[in-house]
Amino acid sequence: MSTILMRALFASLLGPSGPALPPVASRSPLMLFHVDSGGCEACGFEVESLINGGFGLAEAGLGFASTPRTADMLLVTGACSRMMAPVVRAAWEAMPQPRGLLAVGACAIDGGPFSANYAMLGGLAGQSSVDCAIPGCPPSPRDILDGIIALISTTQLNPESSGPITAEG
Amino acid sequence: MSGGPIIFGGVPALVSVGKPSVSQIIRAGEKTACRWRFQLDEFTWHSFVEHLADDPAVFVGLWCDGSQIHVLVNDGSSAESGVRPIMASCTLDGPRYPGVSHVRVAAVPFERMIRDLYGVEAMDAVNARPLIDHGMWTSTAPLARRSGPRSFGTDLPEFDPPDEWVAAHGMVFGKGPATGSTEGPVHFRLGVADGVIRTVETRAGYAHRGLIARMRDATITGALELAGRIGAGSAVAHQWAFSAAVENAVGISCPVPATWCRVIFCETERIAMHLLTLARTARAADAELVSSGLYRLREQILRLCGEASGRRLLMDCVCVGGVIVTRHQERGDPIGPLQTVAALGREIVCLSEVRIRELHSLWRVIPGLKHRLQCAGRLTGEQAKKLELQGVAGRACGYGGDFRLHMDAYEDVSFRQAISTGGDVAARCEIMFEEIGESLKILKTLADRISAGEEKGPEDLCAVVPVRPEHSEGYAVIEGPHGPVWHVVTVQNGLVEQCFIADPASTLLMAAEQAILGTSPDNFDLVRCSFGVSIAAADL
Repeated sequence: MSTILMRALFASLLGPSGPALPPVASRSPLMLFHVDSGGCEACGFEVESLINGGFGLAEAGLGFASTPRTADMLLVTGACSRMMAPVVRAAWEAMPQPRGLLAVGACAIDGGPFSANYAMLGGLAGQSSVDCAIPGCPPSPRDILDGIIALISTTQLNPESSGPITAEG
Repeated sequence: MSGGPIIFGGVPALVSVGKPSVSQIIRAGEKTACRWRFQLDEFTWHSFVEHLADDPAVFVGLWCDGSQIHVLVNDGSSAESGVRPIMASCTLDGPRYPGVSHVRVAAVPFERMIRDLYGVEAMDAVNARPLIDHGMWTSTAPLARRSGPRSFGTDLPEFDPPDEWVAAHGMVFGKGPATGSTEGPVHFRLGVADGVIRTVETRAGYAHRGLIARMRDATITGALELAGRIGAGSAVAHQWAFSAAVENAVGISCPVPATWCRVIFCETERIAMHLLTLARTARAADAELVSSGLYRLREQILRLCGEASGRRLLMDCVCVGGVIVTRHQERGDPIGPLQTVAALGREIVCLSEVRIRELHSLWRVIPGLKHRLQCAGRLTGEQAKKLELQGVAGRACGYGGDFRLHMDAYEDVSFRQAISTGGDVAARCEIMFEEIGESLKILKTLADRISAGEEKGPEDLCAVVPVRPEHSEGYAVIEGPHGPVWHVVTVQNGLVEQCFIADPASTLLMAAEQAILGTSPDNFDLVRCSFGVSIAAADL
C-alpha cells in the first residue's frame, strides 16, 4: 500500500509537466473566473485540461478563482444563452477593476455553430468589447494558454471596459 | 373429418391469454411507409399508455414535430434483448395530448421539453413545471406553428413549495449556474436539515441552444456538425448515431474498416470520459493524488488523439457513410488513414494499460476514500428500474444492459460487460474502471486487426451518400460513455427534415437528484460528479 502511495506521489511531483513558461505576473497570480455561458461543453473540457493537465499554470502566473469577486479576468466559453446573459453580466459586475474579458472558442466569439435564435445571443461579439478572443472549436489548452499569455504580455486590462451582454441582447 | 386443431405431441397449441403487449397494440395501428413506425388514433394511444404501465418494453423517448406526438419504445425487457425499437405516432388534436409520464417516469423531461418548445401539454403529467423556458426567450413555444409572444413573466425560478421540515428546521440554498467549475451551467436548489440534503431541485435550460430547431431542414453535413455538439463528452457517440440513422434511412452501409475506426474513436471517447468522471469524483472526495493522475492520463490520451486526427475530442471524425481522417495527409505521413487510426489505438493501449491499473490500485488504497464512496449516493435497483436507467449508472445498480453486445460493429470483438449491484458512488466508479480496461482490450483487438490487413484510401473509408427525393426515416442507437444515445432521423432530398434525440443525460439528472437525497452536503459534488451528467446534452 505504502509503495503504491509513494510511487504515485513521486509520479505526481516529478511527472512531465507542460513546457516551462516565463513568469508574466509580477506579484500575485492573475486570477481567472470561468463561466460556461451555454455551449456543448467542449471548451469547458479544454479549460479543465488547462487547469489540471500539467500545463504549468502556476509557472505562467495564472490561477482560477471560485468566485468572480477575486478574479481579474472573466473567461467565457459557450455561445451565451439568453438565460445565462444575466449571470455573465452579474459575474462581470462582481469583479474588481481593472478587469478583462476573455472569449474562448468560436461559440463565445460569434456563436460558432450556435448563431442567435430564440434562446441564444450568439456569442459576445456585438454584445460587448472583448479583450482577447481565442478561436477554435474547441481551442486546445495550449491555444488558450498562449492567448492569455499574449494578452497579458502586451496589453493592460481595461478598467473602462463596457463588459459583456447588453440587457436585451 | 373433424376440423379441430391439430395437436403435435399431445400438447395443445399455446393460446395467448390476458393483456396484449405494447408492441401488439402499436403494430395493430395504421402502417406507415416506415416499417417500425405506426400511426395510432387517440383511442389506441390511450390503450397503449394504459398497457405501457406494466409492459417490459423500455421507454426511449417522446417527441413532437408540431403536428404529431411520437413515442419510441424498445421492444424487450431491457437493453439485454437488443435493439428492436418500435415507434407510435398520434396526431395532435388541440393543445393537450395523453401523457406517458404517469406510467413511465423517464418521460418527464421529454414532456416538459415538448411543453416548452411546442406549447402542448401532457395530460396526467407527473411534473408540469417548465424545464428549459424560464421566460427569457424571445417567444413562447418557439417551435410551434404559431409561436407565442415573449413571456414577460417572473424571472424567479419556479420550484416546488419547500419541504415543511426544511422550512422549519433547516435552510435552502442554491448552487450554480456559475460556480467557476467547468461542469456546465445548471442551478441546484438544495434543502438541508439535520445535516443532510432533504430536497433537491434542478433548474435547467441555461445551455439550451435550440438544437432541434437548428437541425430541422439543415443539410446532412450541417446537422452532423450539430450532432457532434450536443454534448462534447459524447460527440463521437452522437455523430455515429446520427450517421447510422441517416445510413439506415437512405439504405447504405458503412464500409467494414470504417466501422472499426468508429469503434476505436467511440472507445477512446469512453476511456477519456470515464477518466474525466473519475477524476472529478476523486477531486470532490479530496483524493487529489489519484485525481491528478487521472487528469494527466486523460490529457496524454487527448494529445494522442489530437496528433492522430487533428481533433483532441474526436469531434467531426465520424461522417455519414464512414469516417474522415485527413491529419496524416496534412503532416505528409507515409502511412494511410486506416493505419493512422490503428496506430492511435495501439498508442493509447501502450500508454494506458499499466497506468490505469496503477491508478486503480491507488484508488483502492487511498485512506478513507473507499469508505466515503461506499456510503454516498446510493440508488437502489428498484429506483433504477423505475427510471429505466441505462449506462454506467444503471449497470451499477444491476439494471440495464450494454447495447454494444448487440451491435454489428462489435460483433467479432470480445469484451465483458461490467455490472454491479452496489448502486453507490463506489460501484459506479468500479464499473468505469472495469469499462476502461475492457475498452483498452477492444482497442488492442481492432488495432491488431487493422494492422494485419491492407491499407485503404480515404475513399474506401466513406460510402457515397445518395440524395433520395423520397421521404425516408431511420434510427440508430450507440452505447455512449454514460448510456445509450438514440437518434431518429427523417431525411428528404438530402436535407434533414427532423431529428429526434434521446441522450441519457436527462434521466441521469433525475437519478442524481434521487441519489443526492439523504447525503451530507459535503458529498453533494461527489455524488453528482459520479453520474457524469452532461448538462449540455440534457438541455439540447
